[in-house]
Amino acid sequence: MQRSPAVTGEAAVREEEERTLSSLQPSRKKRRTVRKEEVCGTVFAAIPLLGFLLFSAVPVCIAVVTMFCDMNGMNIATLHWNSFANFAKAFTDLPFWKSFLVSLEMTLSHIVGLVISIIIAAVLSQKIKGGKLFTIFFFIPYVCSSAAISIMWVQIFKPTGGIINSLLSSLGVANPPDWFRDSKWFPWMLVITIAWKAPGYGILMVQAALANVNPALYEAAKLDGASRFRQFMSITFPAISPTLYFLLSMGLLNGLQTFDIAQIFAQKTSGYVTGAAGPGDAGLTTVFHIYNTMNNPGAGGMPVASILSLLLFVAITLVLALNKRISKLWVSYDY
Amino acid sequence: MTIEETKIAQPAGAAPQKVHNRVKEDKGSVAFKIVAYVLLILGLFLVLVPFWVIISTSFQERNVLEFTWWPERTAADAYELVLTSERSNILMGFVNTLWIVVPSMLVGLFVSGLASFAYAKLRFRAKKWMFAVTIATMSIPGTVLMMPSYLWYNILGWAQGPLPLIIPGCFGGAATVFFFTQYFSGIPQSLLEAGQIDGMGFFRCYVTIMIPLAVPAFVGQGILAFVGGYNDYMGPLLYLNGSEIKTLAFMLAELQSYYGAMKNSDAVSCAGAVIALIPIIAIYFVGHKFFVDGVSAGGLKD
Repeated sequence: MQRSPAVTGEAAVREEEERTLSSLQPSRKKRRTVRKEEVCGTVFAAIPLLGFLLFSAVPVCIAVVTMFCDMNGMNIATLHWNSFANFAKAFTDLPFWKSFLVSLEMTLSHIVGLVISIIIAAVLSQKIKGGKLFTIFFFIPYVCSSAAISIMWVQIFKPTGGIINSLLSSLGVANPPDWFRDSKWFPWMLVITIAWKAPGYGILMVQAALANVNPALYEAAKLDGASRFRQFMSITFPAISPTLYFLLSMGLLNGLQTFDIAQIFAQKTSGYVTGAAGPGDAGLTTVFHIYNTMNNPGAGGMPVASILSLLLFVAITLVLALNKRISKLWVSYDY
Repeated sequence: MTIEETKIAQPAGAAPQKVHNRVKEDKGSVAFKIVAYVLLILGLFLVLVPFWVIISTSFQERNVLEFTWWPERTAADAYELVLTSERSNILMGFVNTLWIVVPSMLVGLFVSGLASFAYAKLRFRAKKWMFAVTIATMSIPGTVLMMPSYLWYNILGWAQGPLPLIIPGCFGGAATVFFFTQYFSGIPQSLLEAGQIDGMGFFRCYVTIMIPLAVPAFVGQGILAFVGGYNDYMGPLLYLNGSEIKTLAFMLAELQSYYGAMKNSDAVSCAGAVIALIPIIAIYFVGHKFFVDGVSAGGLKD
């Protein structure tokens, strides 16, 4: 068979290419190294992805299947199709929607924590003797376990003999709140506890952001006679706004996922009330509710809990997207 | 280039001086300083009071219910109880936590480092998208995966034991991979080439060249992983509930229910919390620099 000139030309080019390649990579050994690099690189990098596949992706796929099925307890062999009955159950699950409000309330603690971090970091960024020592101490709550933190704050909020109520009575408050039994105050107790833990991380991040502000800007502002407040609003705030946005997003994310402290508080105060999550389920956050649903076949068990997890994911995504949209009004990336 | 130059996160503690601008101290700045110290000391007080509350309560005598700043008579019964009791021995909890957290942490660090070594130093075709997927997995909120994972471990038959807390960690973590990749890209390629000329394979290059150069990064990420595992509550609640093996954080939450009937159950809870906090706070004070660097780069597992 006769070859067309184009094909032979191509072959020649290919040959030429190979020759130049081999002249660039003279030895066979080198070429083997390149192949070895390809294989080793892919294998090394694949291990964490394999972990994700095995312990996150596969479970999610199974969970999606169960959403459309009835299941006897946790037994996967008893799956049978029930079309959208679980979804109907999940969407009409009133406590779930109420728990979402509680979780939103929990995000308040992170917002308060953020405000505190800004104030403390701003103060520490001035020349303050012992500032480093303060930074070290302010970070401690962040490394404590939620179990230990709950034990501390249960003691502090104790209706009889706790510090807060003793203090309130000595200040002349006639009826200090009954934190453990009053459904109005119970969530605020959680908010205060989480707000105690939250600022450590924020202080660190805001401090690092403040340190990166160009000092020349302040010099210039001072020459123009700008007041301290004006300097903050026109230089400092825009410069650290990306960090503040990041911290706000993390706060919303963590707040909407509040579980540990709500669950432990409910357990520690269970001697005072009958509700499973504080008085009248006032401390029932979304994740706490999902956890309860999983353990309660009557409420739909695992399949409904999976749907609720999915709804939580959607809700978190929406809140973060909204936060991003609003951030365009106040975050500047020009610095 | 030295390793010092490759440091990613800025130590926050060293920062404040830079912002300060030298001006003559006027009256306003003296007033500002007074307000600043009042604020800081108030903050310090609020941070430390809860610790004092549990320390003081843990030494309370049996039938005292009221909190006193300085108990007139102290008793160490509570400590004796949590350290020697059969049902909820805090020391057993500590040992359990160690063997659940430490091996998984070490393997996870090694594996994350290996993947980062590939991303930072090796050339392979799928690199770009594999890295993108790894980073994307970070954005999935952990609690959303709680239900699906539980079901999966139940299918595997692991749900009533510590395996779900150990095995997934051995595959490394996305945040750690991200951190190490940045760190490794600061180490010169020529060191790797030198290793290859000596006839080392890529794996041996990683073990004998990269790891020794990245010790600070490993220690930092190791501390973060350890603290995360030590403090983890949701994992043990899901998988160790009803099992004999209990981790420290999980035991703390339950202490009350063991001794609920006794008058000094508060003291027992607080004694447990004090003992559980000591190692973590000690680690924090010793390695706080690593903490600051690691946390400002990635944050603690919540």
